[in-house]
Amino acid sequence: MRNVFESNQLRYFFSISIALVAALIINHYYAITNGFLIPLTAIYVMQTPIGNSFYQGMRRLILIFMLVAIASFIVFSMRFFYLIMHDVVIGAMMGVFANVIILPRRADIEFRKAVLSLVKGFNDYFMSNIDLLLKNEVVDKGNATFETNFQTLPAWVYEAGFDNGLQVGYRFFLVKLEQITDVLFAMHHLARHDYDKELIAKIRLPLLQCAEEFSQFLSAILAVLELKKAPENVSDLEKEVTELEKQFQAIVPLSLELLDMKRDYVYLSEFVFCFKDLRKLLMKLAEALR
Amino acid sequence: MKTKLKKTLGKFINSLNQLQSIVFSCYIKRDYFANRYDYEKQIHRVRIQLFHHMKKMRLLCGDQPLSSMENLYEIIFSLNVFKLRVADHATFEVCENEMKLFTQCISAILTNACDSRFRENDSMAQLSSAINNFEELYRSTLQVVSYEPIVFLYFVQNMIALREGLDIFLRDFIYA
Repeated sequence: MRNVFESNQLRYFFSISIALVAALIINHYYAITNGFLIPLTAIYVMQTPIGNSFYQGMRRLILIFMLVAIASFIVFSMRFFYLIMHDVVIGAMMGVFANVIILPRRADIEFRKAVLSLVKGFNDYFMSNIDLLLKNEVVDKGNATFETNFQTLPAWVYEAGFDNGLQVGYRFFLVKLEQITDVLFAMHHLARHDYDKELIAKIRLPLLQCAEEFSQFLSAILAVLELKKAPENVSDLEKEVTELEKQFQAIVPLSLELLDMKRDYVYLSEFVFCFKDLRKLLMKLAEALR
Repeated sequence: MKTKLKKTLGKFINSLNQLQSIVFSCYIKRDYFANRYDYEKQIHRVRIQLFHHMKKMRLLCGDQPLSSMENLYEIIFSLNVFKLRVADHATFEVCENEMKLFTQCISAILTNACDSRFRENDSMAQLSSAINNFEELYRSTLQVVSYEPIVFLYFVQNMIALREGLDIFLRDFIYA
């Protein structure tokens, strides 16, 4: 039973149903007009994103108010305005309070659900980028799956009216996720390039070792998000990234002029740099989860 | 079917143009740090739009690979990573005019891509010249004033990749 009420869809369904029944009863006894304006308005103001029901509900009420005012001006009747607004205000108040009081949808559950699928996608996409760079006989699968994961990310975190206390943390987390996405896309773009096979062979082993550690770190973040126990002894990745850079420097000249001469060098150097970016962002994400 | 494809392609190009415009405005506008989340919100919105159009394109194109389209937005996201790598935002003031020129050139190419009267060569030449100007600035100034000059080299390479990517995209989808 407890699980049933953890589902945001069900909470929303119950909330709307209860508000609708109450609105129909109120409409029967108190409505002035015959247009079922009380239940209709209640449902309309309940169509808000998660986390900012009150603010968005009031915005919708103001919108209806303006529409009724314009309609009244056209028909040139103050009486029309008062009659309609009487029912509209009752309906809107019922809708707003039902949204806020009766089983309000939980932002934390919704946020975690969306973030989980994206972080899972990070790990797969990251490893497929490594495979693509090392040309482990893989065909580039493209970005379709990763794009789909991204589309579930909650945009309501940025909306006005979302709880100020929660918004700071959620927004920070979301921005970091988007920045990780950017880095992964950058890596994919770099991995598509056709590199000198000898160059790739030289960097292969340290790159694979480093990638494995990154993958484990992402799995640890995933475990925390799934409310499971995080695996112990997860590296902070600093040693791995430094080692990868050191190995890369032994293979490729890091002088800017020499780097500039060959695109393979610049691209591979940027790919290694992406590990640094990724580490920075993952550490911030992990700190936020602590 | 062809009309639908053309319409979706137009929307994709429009989203791409919006995306590049916001990404570059993060470097050009001086209020970026004060209103950071507003910029991120805009990027988020356009990104979702872009992926939505990509999904539609995939449905319409079937098995045809869309790697040239994917590559284009990947490069623009790479350009967005640049701001994470430059610790001092004031460094961008040195190359403000070059950044403005970049966004104008890319916008001209993308806005006019579907126009048959459009002369692609002119805009591409302008973009190439803007990249050369930036490279010159990088060698003369940015290399000296920047804390990590190598990231500017990456930026130049990404701009070159973007020019090439635009070229391939226009050839594959617009002039095909």
